[in-house]
Formats: sequence, C-alpha cells, structure tokens
Amino acid sequence: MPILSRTLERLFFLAAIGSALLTAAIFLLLCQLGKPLFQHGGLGTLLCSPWNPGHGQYGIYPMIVGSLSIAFLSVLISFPFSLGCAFFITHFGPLALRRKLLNLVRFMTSIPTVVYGFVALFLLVPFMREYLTGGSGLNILTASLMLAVLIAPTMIIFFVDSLQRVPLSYRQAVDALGGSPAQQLLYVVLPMAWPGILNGLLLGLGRAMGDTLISLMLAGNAVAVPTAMTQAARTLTAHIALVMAADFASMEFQSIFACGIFLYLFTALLIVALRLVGRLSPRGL
Amino acid sequence: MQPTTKIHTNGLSFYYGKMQVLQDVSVELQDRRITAITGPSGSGKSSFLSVLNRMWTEIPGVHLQGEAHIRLGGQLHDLCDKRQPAQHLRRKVGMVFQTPNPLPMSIYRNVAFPLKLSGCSDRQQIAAQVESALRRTLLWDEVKDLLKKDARQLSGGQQQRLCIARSLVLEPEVLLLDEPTSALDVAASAGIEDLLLALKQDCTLVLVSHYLDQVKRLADKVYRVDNGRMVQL
Repeated sequence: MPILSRTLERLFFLAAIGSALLTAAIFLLLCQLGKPLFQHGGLGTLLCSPWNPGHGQYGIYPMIVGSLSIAFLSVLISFPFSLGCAFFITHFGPLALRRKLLNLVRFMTSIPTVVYGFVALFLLVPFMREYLTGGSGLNILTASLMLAVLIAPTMIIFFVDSLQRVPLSYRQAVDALGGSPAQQLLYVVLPMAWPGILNGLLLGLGRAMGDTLISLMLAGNAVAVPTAMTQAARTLTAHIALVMAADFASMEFQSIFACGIFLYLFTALLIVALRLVGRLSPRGL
Repeated sequence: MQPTTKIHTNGLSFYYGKMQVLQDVSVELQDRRITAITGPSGSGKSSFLSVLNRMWTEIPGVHLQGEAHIRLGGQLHDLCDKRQPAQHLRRKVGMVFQTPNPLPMSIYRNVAFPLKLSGCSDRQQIAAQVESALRRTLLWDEVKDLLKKDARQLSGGQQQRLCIARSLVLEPEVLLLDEPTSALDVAASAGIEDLLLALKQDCTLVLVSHYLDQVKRLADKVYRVDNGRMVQL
C-alpha cells in the first residue's frame, strides 16, 4: 500500500508540475512566435499603434480598445442585473420559484455561445439598426448587450453561491428577530458575502474578455479605433480568429501572437486579483 | 379562548412536502408560564416552535392545516395565515436557538441589532434598553467593560445569555427556546435555568428540551410529542 500511495503521490505531483510547465511553455511559445513582430516594432509600438498592414503597421491598439470596451461595458450591464437576479433567488422571490429559477440559470450556462450570437443576429441586430444605433447594427453596444446575457449566468451562480454561504445561523438570527429579507441582506448577508461577489464580477470580466464568437458575430470587426459605443470594433479574440482563417506566414499572422500575449497577461492579472480578493475575508460586521 | 391563554391550537397539522410532521395538535399555552415540550429527536418539536413565530413560512414546501392563534397585545393573530407579514409578530415572539448564534459583531451591537431592525434610531434609548436587557440576563456585570468586544469571543453560556438578551431587548411577550442548554456545560445550564424562571414573571416561555430533569425543574405544563402527536403529561 505505501508503495502504491507513494507512486500515486508522485504521479499527481508530476501532473501538477506538468500543467504548470505547460502554462509557462504556452507563454514562451507565444513570445517566441511573436518575435519577428517585436523586432519589427517593439512591444510598445505594437500595443500603441494602429492596424494598417498596407503601410507596415501591425499594431493591435484598436483591438485592445475594442476588447476592453466590450468586456467592461458588458460587465457594467450584466453586473446590476445579475446581482438583482441573485437577490431574487436568495431573498425576495417566492420560495417555490427560487430553485426553479436557479436551475434555469444553470441551464443557461450550457447553451452554446453560437446560439446566443445567432439569436442576436436575427433579433437584436435589426432592432439596433432600426431604432438605436443605425448603421449595420453591428457595433460595440450590440455585442456588449449580448455578451452581458452570456456572462450573466456565471455571475448569478457565483453570487447566489456566495450569498448562500453566509452561515444559516446568522440568517436565522435576523429572521427570528423580526428582520425583513431586505434587512437581512443589507445588514448581514452582503457585508459577509462581498468578497465572493467581487470574485464573481472578476470571473465575469474574464469570460467577457475571453469570448470570441459574440464579438466576432456582432461587433462589426472594424479595425479602426472606436470612439463611441455605437461604432463597430474588433476584439483581440476576434482578430485572432479572423487572421488565422486567412493567412499563415505574413506579419499579419504574427500579430496574433501579440494579441495572445496581451490576453494571457490580462488573464494572469485577473487571477492575481482573484487571489487577492480571496484573502479578504470580513472579520465581522 | 380563555383570557389567560396565550397560544391556542386546534387540530393543527404540519406538513413538510407530503410528509406529515405534526398531526391534529390541540394545545393551550398559558400566559406567563413555562410550557415544556419534550419528545425524541425528529418528532416535530422544532416544527411546532416554527409555527409560533411563523418561521415555517421561510421553509419551502411547508403547509399547515387546522387552527393556531396567538394573543399579542390583547389581540388574536392567526398563525396559519401565510399572507400576514411575519416581521412584526417576530418582534413580540422571540426565539433562542440550540446553538448560541451571536452575529459576528460586538456584544453591544448584537443586543442593539433588533432595535436597529425595528427602526429605532435614538441612541440614548438604545443604550438604555441594551443595558436593561443585559441586566435582565445577568450579563451586564460581566460584559459592561467589554461591550466593544466581538460577541463570538464570549463563553458558550455567556453567548446564550447574550442571545436571550438580544431577544429580550424588544420586550417580547413570548420567548421560544429550542433546547437552549444542550450545547452548554452543567454550570452554564444552571445559570440559564435560573434566568428562565425569573423571566416567567413577564414573558410566556415555550421550552423545547429533552432533559426530563430540566423539564421537571422548570415547567408548569409539559407536552410530549411522539410521532407527530402532542399529549399533555
């Protein structure tokens, strides 16, 4: 038995080391493959200059702006909505409805992204074109609205989980003392659950940043730097998908590694932020 | 219903989903008396308590049949009516749980918390009521210099007395106690028992306990729950 357990221990250790090394290797590979581009302009110019392959400019600045604005706007739209949904599921909804609603939200996470994009193409895009933004209807706002719907279930599930993790004895105490659901939420549950809520928010941001299909289908993919949310934009992820589909050896192709590096670093930063939030635990009320 | 009757049920049944927890319960609980409810675990004692402060409305799948009334401030309230708001009732029907459940805040804020919930904002009045509640539970002398300390740092017996003080600060007419000493040592239990006897003067107490000697020492009337039925002993 000890031999078996020691072998297993080593296997798991190797698996852990392996996956850590793999993550590092991906980053090194991205840097290696993006090398010609860095030599061409340097990382600084790459991140700050426009995309204009005709004039030898392969900057990904427009895509960074596109990605960040779509991701942040979608989180901005989705956060209040998701938080409200979570409150309804944990505190305000009729008891019989709460579980059903949560199951519905869980189900929403399993709908393929392309379905959201497809539905939006037929319903949301014509609406935006006719009534709100004009143009083709493919723009930052359209993509952000749909992305908000896409990331909402993840955030709702995370929020509900952190609200429900507040010890039952505390919630019962407030109930038994004649506190209303709103008071329970405000005075006890939220002050204890906010690190979890912040975590859910960051995860939602990560998902929004990493999503490819919604922005590819709905944001319009223009390579100019957007100046308003009614304008079309291209995200880093959509850029990777678009360039990859067309080309293999050119400088354009190499620019996608810069996109990869930026996304990689952004995600790494998010994870660091998640870790830091995880350390915050409210000591008391 | 007699004027001295505080709580009265007639043919009350308690269902949790399809499972019947209480069957045809008809009881009368007198004002300013200690009524003990005993019986094996899982027999429905806590379910009965949850009827009295309407906590049952927070549990999905629970429904009641029959009648249950409580007299508060001279007025009869229907405990089975799900539509009536429970918050007001719970300020007059306090509850003490098996495991002391002070909130993660200071001793003072724990006792002041129910007043905050009921919308009281007069600081002097709050301070006076907190002191009076802590005096009634004989906790004042022990904690008057530590009011800012986290309530969870008190001993088990002190925490339970703090929870009783927290219920008393609203001056309830009825106090429900769900095995209030089962998480405490002998000395702390004795302290709580003395306290309950003293509280009887201005409060109707409903005590769930499965310590028969404790029931004998405290109770004016005893009901035993077995298989969902309640019989007076």
